[in-house]
Amino acid sequence: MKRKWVFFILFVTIVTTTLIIWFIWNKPHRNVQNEKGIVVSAIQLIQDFENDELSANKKYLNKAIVVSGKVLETSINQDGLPTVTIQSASLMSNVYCTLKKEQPIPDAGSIAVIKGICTGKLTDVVLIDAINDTK
Amino acid sequence: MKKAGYIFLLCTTLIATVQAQKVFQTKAGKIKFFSTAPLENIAAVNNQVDSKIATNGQMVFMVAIRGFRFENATMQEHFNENYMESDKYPKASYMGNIINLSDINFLKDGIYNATTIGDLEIHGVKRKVTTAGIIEIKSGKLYIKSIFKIKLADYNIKGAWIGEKIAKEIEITIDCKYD
Repeated sequence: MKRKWVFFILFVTIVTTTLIIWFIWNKPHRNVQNEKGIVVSAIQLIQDFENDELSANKKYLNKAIVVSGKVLETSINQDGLPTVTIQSASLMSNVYCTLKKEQPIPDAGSIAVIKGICTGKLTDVVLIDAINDTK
Repeated sequence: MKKAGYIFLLCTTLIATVQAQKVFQTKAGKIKFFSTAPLENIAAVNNQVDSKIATNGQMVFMVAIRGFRFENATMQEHFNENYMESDKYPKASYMGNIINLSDINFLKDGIYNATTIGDLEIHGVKRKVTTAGIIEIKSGKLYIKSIFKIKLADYNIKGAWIGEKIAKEIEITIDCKYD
């Protein structure tokens, strides 16, 4: 009788551990839609990065951010994902956002709000996995 | 008359110089990497390669490490936290030159083999590398493709996937379309 219980407990432990590992391994990608996000204008965002990239990285890198500004241009990338460039006050860089599939693309020249994950600054400050959050 | 000749010469040289300095650029280039691992193959793609290629042979590539997307979210986290230390080294870059420039005619449609030498910086480590690739010119647009391997140890990249070491070498594919 005692042995039966030992086997049962062992079995339950193995199953739970396997399930936990499986869930950790297969956890879903973060969804920017469920995150609050740092609200900032494209002008301010670029200014922050141009002033001090190191501290801007601390503030924005890998964070969900909600960027607003005038849409300079839109395009479709090599993998069919929509891209939106939001204009800043700088001549050198803007905010370059890659949207998720099937997100509505804002019109060039309009004011848009894009929410995405900031991956840092190349020529432009880059946002990925973004959604069109224009109300 | 002689003066006019000089001016003409000067003008044509200037025009030639301006033409010679055409720069192709993209902010949506694609880079992939692939490596075999015991549990699951490691593959990731980044669609925000920021690159410029000038017709004088100069080229630059920049990529945000956090921009690499894996199918598996846990793997992506490990890649950023354990291997690449992305918060410390958020970018990788390559700055180089095409060394067989005379084989490439940027004004004529065609597929050209290109060899480049330059500095590849990953994980804060800069190394001189020679890579080969293909440049395609099609209706005034430029496309490049290149596949090469890097050794993780060369760039001081360490880490382990749940106890198992990953492959020592990874394969990188560059696939960029320029405007």
